Amino acid sequence: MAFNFQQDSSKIGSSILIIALLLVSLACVTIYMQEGSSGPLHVFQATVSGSLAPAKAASGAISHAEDTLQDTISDSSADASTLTALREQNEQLRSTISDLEEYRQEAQRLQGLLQVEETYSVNGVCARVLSRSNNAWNQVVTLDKGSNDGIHAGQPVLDAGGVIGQVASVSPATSEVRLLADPSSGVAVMVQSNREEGIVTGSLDGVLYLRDLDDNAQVNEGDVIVTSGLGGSYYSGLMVGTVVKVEGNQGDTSRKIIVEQNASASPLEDVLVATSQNSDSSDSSATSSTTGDDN
Amino acid sequence: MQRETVILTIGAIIAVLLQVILAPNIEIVQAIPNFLIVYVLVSAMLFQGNGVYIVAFVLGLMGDLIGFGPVGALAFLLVLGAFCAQHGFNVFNNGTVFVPLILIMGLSLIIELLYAAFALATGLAASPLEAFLTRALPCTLYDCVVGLILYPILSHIMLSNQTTMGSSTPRARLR
Repeated sequence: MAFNFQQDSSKIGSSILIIALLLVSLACVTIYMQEGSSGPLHVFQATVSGSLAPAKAASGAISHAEDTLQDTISDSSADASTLTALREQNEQLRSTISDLEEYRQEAQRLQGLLQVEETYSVNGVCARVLSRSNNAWNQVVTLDKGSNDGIHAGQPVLDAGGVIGQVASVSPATSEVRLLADPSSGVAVMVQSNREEGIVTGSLDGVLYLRDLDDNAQVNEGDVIVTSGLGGSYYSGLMVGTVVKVEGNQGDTSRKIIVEQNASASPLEDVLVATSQNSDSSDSSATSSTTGDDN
Repeated sequence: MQRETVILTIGAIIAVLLQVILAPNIEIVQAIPNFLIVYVLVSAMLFQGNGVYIVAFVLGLMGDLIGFGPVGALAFLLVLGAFCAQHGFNVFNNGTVFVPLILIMGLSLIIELLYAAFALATGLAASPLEAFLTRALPCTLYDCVVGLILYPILSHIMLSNQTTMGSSTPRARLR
C-alpha cells in the first residue's frame, strides 16, 4: 500500500510538472505576442541569438565551402551549350548596361526639371552575413554587427544587387535580418516604368509576389521593381527585383505577379545596413540638368 | 549526477549545436530538419522520469530563441510531445525499431502541424494548406530520417551504460 502511495505521488508530481511547464510556455507565448519588439522576451531572444554568433560563423563557413564546391562541380561539368548561353547572356548584359546609363542620364535631367531630390544615396554600416536561417519557418540571417555599430531594428539591408531585407532585432554585436523572401516580409514598391505602386511580399515557397497593385496597372515581364519609400520602412528608389512572370491579364483581380529578387544573402557576403539616406543638393541636379541641356 | 542525466544533458547540447551549425547547410527544398524535436522524442522513449520534460521545455525555448519563432511555442509542443512519446512507447513497445519510428513520424508531424498553427495564428502570411505542403510535411519527413539515425545511436549508448531488465530496449530512470 505504501508502494502504491509512492507511485501515485510520483505520478502526481509528474503531472504537476508537465502542467506547470505547459502553462509557463503558454504564458511566454502570450507575453511575446503582446509585447513590442523592444519587450524583454524579444530582447532576450536577440541576446541569445547573438551569443551563438561563433557557432553561426562556423555554420556560415560550411555554407560557403558548400557553395564553392557546387560552383566548382558545375563549372567543371559545363558543356558547350552552357558556355554559349553564358556568352550570349554576357552580350545582352553589356547592351543593357549601356541602355541603363542612357536612362540614368535622362533621369538626372528629368529630376532637375521636376525639382525632385536625387534618391538612392544612403549612408550605412558594412556587415558580413554569418549564417543562413536555422529554422524552416523563418528566413532570418545573422550579421556580425549590432547596436554597438549604430544598427537598429527596422533599418533596410542592401547588397550590390539591391534590398535583401530588414533588420528585425539587434544585440550589441549581432543583428538578425528578416529576408524579403520571408512570409512575414513586405515592402512598399513601385514599378519603375510607370510608377504604379504595390507591395512585394515573401512566401513559404520562397517566391516574391507583387500585390495590392491596381488591377488596371500595366505590368510586363522584365519590369524593374524598386522601393517606393511609402510607410517609411525602406528608403525610396532601392532596387528590389525584376518581374519574371505575370499570370493573368490586365484588369484581372486575381492576377499573380512574380518578382525575382536581384539580391541574395549568402554566408560571408558583405552587406550594407542603411542607417540614413543622403539627399543631394538641388544644385547638383540643376548642374546635371544644365549639362543635359547642353548635350 | 547520474550517468543517464549526463547523457541526456550532453545530448541536448549537441542537438542545439547541430541545429545551429549543421541544419542550415543540409536544407533540401526549403525543408530543414529539427534536431531538437527528434532528440526530445527519442530521449522521451529511452528515458523515464521528469528530467525529459525539463529538457523538452529548455530545448523548446532554445529552439524558439534561435529560430526566431514565438517564444514558448516550441517549448509547449515539445513538452506535450515528450509526454505522448513516453506513454505511447510504454504502451506499444514491442522491442523493435518499428514502434519508435512510427511514434517519431506521427508525433513530429503533429508537432510541425501545431507549430504551423502557432505561426499562422501569430501572423504568418500563408494558407494552412501551403504551410502543410511546403513546410510541415517535408520537415516531418526529414525529421523521420534523422530519428531513424538517432534512435539506434542513443539506444546503443544506453545499452552500453545500463543493464536491461527483461526488455530488449534499454530504459533509463531519472530521479
